[in-house]
Amino acid sequence: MKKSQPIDFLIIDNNTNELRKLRELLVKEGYSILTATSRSTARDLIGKIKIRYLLDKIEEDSESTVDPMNQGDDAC
Amino acid sequence: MTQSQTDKVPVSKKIDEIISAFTKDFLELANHTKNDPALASRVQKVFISILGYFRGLQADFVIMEKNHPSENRQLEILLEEKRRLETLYTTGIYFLSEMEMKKLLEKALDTVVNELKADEGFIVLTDDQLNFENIVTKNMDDNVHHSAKEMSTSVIKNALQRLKPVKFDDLKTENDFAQQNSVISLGLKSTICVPLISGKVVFGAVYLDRRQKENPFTESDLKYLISFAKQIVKGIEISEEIQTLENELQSDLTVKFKELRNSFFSGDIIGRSRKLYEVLRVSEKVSKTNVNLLILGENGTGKDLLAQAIHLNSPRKSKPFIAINCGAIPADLLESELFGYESGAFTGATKSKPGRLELAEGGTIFLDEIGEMSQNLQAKLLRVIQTHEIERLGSTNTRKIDVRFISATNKNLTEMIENREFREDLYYRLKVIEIKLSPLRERKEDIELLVEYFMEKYSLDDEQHFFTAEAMNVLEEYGWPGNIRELENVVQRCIVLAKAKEIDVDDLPPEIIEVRSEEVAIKPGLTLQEAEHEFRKMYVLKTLRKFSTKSEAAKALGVNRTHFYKLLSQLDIPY
Repeated sequence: MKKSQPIDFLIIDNNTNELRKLRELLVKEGYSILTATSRSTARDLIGKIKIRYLLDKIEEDSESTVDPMNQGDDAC
Repeated sequence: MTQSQTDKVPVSKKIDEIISAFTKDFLELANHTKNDPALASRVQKVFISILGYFRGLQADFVIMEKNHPSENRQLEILLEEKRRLETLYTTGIYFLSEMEMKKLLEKALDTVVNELKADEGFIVLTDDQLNFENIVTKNMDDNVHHSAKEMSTSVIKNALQRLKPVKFDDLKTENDFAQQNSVISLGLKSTICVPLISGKVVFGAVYLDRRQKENPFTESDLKYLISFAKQIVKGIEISEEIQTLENELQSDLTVKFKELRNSFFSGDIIGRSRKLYEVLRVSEKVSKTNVNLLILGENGTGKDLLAQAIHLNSPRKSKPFIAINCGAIPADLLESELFGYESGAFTGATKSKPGRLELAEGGTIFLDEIGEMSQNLQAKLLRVIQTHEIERLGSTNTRKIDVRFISATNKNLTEMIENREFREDLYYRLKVIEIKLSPLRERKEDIELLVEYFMEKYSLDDEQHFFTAEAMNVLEEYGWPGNIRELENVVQRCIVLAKAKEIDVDDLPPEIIEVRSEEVAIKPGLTLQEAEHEFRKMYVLKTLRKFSTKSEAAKALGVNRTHFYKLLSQLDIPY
């Protein structure tokens, strides 16, 4: 895979309705995003694509987290 | 027997019935007169005499019926004529809506063979020298193909040389054909052949044959075939015209795009839509000038790529292209970034630094998200544009600069002016020329090319992925609020997660698929007419993808080919 700009957000959420709303909100603002409905899918993505922030909503909304990620080559 | 059924019985048959009844009565009478031989003899003479009269009458009626068909028979003939005319009319409509020549010929032959109850048929298309170019056959047995073809070839050539319809009732009696293998081995009896001619142009011929001696083609059959041939000719002419038009239109935009791309280098701006063509055409024109540009468009539409392309195609291309995102830098920092500063201008300014405007000397400065710029800075920028002079922060020296300004925004600047959030005078200074980049949902015809481009970008060298037609449909139907950037991210995600080379609907982000199933991806806020336009475009594109030919797509949409091409043009879909 050729080198590309890091993705701004990876959003993990098993509620696809919520995922869709968040996607729409962020992409309209010009952010690059990836989505995953499971952590295993997220792991696959993190292993191959540089990601700046991880937004994990897969447990409870109250526990939603935004984690700054390492931007090095072996990120995440 | 009903009255109408009785009417249909020929008179000769009725006489048979009368004779039968009369004979029965005579036998009864003979039984009563058996004791009176003289009376019996007289009755017998009367019976023979009456019988003779009826037989004579019957013979006359048989001749009359043969020479003059009954009214019912005439009605039957008229009804048959009407039915044939209806077939001719409906097939004529079909021919006008059939865009592909081969299908048109197949349908025509199928109809005419069934209609005229022929055993087999051909339609041949010829070149200028009357050589056969294209042959469509019906009911042709492969085992006898050669000899039959040889014979029919002779008949067709005969018709083409004379440029007149030909009809042979019994080929065995025709000197030219009697000894031919197919006439003998296949028992071919009757043939008709009509040249397909329009003015002085010969397209070919339609040929039919029958093998039953008792049922040769009639003059009425030949007349029907002549009328039918005219329909075929009309269909061929329109098919050729449409094909020419299609090629011209397709090559027209393709050629224009190619020429434009040669004169305006824009390799990273992917697409083939008419909207993109218009944007690049204007960009090519303005790239040669020094006028300030304002690029409008939603996030992810490629405003920065366009600005860069305009710079690279301008006389300033050897000078710097400096891009600065006015929304990404805090207002205080933006001022020092743009204008530079002298040492000691503020705390931490240990040494002098040139601003971006200065660094762009001789080249182009790209002010992205110009709508985010503070009012204070807007005033300073206006002065720079008017005077072409800058002052570094903390300096009283003015410096002359020669910079071209390209600005971009996704905001509605006129609304911001009304709300006093953006300076009107600056707005008019920045937008000497305004270029609007369409959102991706308005140029869905570019999605396929963009997907290919991103797949090429992100696929591993040894593994080329591809999207199934169904997955591509989903991508085309989705609204893409994040435009090309969002599409790029989705393609990248699919390639990373793909378990096989084929990327199907299940491999797409689920929230995109759900949008598709729940609602049509048409943005809110459109007028009914605009929404209808969007829907029609989406639906036509979907149909085009589903079918392998435009002809099939047109048929599925229930429109004829002329209408279909008008539709493609109206919806800005490349042919």
